[in-house]
Amino acid sequence: MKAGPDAGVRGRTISELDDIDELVKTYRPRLLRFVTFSLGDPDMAETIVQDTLLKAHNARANFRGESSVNTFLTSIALNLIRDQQRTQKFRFWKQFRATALDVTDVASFVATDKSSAEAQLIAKEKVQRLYTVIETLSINQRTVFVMKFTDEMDVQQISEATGMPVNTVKTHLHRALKAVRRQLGASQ
Amino acid sequence: MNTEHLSEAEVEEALLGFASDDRTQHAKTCAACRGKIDDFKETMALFNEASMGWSQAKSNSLSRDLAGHRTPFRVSMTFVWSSASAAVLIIAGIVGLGMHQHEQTLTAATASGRQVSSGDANEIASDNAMLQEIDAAINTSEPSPAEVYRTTSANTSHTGSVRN
Repeated sequence: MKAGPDAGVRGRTISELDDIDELVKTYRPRLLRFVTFSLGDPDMAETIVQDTLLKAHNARANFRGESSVNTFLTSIALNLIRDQQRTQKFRFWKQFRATALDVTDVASFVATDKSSAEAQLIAKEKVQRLYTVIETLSINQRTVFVMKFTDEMDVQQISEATGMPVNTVKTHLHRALKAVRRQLGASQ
Repeated sequence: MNTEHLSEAEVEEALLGFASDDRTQHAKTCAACRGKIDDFKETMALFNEASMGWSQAKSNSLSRDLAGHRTPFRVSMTFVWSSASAAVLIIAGIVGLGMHQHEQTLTAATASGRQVSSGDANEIASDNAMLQEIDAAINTSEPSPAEVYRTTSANTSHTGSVRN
């Protein structure tokens, strides 16, 4: 990851895991975004993020500082996402999309300092369109895409977090990016 | 430097950060190729900005919820102390009230006692007089049933004393 909370040395990262309040404050927004856009279910994402932070805090003694806290948290979150996706309950709710993310709600957070109302509208449409395209990706492609382009993790970090070999990560990234650009291009 | 425009695959390589130095250099100088890269980056930046804004807002509301869930533990200590203090106060109040009521009862009893002695003095006096009359009548009119045994009982008592 380029910047943000991960640049810490081992001592700092361990103290970050010790302080649950600081952990929540620093990492929850980013983690919530990652899980929400990986799952497409904001309600379930909230639960998974809470569980992730709690697990990380409880397992802090096992954290050796070899990866960043962000990678450590993402790895836990991914395991919880996979567990969740295996359950029958998840498949059931997925069918009905009862708690699907309201993308217009997300798009409403586009900065309001655009030059005109038209520019603002175009920006919102781009956000909505991109989210719609991301949703069409396979779970692996979506996960690595969000990690790379939203969380700005590098390939090595994605590999550590997902447990995938670096080349597999690259392959998923290539396919995901190609699909996204193609669909965005087709819609523009 | 290769002046050919980037292919779509090369644009993707550039976006992923895997492009060769030569191709990266071209993208910097070629407006058309740079435009393709910047266009995607701009869309991603908009998406990231909006999604982080949404997530931050959501997280803030969750923080309030979490605070609501977590404060019971913190409050529970306060609650325990408050409850203990309240319990002590209640007990002290009950004890104080009980003592006060007891005093009131005693006062009432004393007062009622005074009322009885003053109010029914005549009745008591008449009762006493009647009882004395009855005693007198009993003593004088009929001999006691034990009268016939008086001698016997005196002998028994004497015999008993001899025996002892």
